[in-house]
Amino acid sequence: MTTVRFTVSLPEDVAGPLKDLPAGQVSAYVTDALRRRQLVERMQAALTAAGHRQFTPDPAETAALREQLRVPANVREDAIARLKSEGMLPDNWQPRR
Amino acid sequence: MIVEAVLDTGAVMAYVNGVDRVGELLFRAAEDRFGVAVPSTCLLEAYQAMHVEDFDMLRLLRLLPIVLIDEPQTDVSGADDLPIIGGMAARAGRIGAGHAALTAATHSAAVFTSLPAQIESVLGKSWPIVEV
Repeated sequence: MTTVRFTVSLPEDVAGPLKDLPAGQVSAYVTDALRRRQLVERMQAALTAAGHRQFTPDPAETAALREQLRVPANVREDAIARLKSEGMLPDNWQPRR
Repeated sequence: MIVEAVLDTGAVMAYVNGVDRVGELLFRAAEDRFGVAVPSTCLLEAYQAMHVEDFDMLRLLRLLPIVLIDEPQTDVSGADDLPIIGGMAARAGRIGAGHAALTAATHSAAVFTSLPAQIESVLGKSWPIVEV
């Protein structure tokens, strides 16, 4: 992958954690942060095109949503056992997680 | 990427129509980098129900890295999803619902749907299902 060298100025509180990273890890850290931001911006652009409102990143809201989506292990196991007993899933069928 | 949710046909249509519950799911998925699966048969049903001029919105959705299009496995001597989806569809009443139920079981993921009774008929009432 082609890389580009950049010199940037950062507020001290933002730059602080970068100074503690091992040598050579700063670029990876910044790349990850930028990729995360670019993904969110791309998602918002797709949503805006479909007439959705502007969303705001909110780790607490996101954690609450993920909890709401979680399939409890007993629910998953009961459903799969029932579907196998009904012949709807093969006996050797396994979920991916 | 861990898949946390599956979009049934009605949820794909809800995305196109700006329904907030689906928009928020997709935004949070991008924020936290978890996957949202869309069964290919649900996409086909959505295209069938949409106007041609709205097709570009689904193209945008499909290009997003957090959106994973689930294709049925078709190995007659090995992993073969077709009889499973067909059996689930017979119970649920719709091919897309059968495919969405199998995709949800495969990934242990919640289902976003406009027809929760169809998904419940396969996965049961305790499975996380979000009505849109």
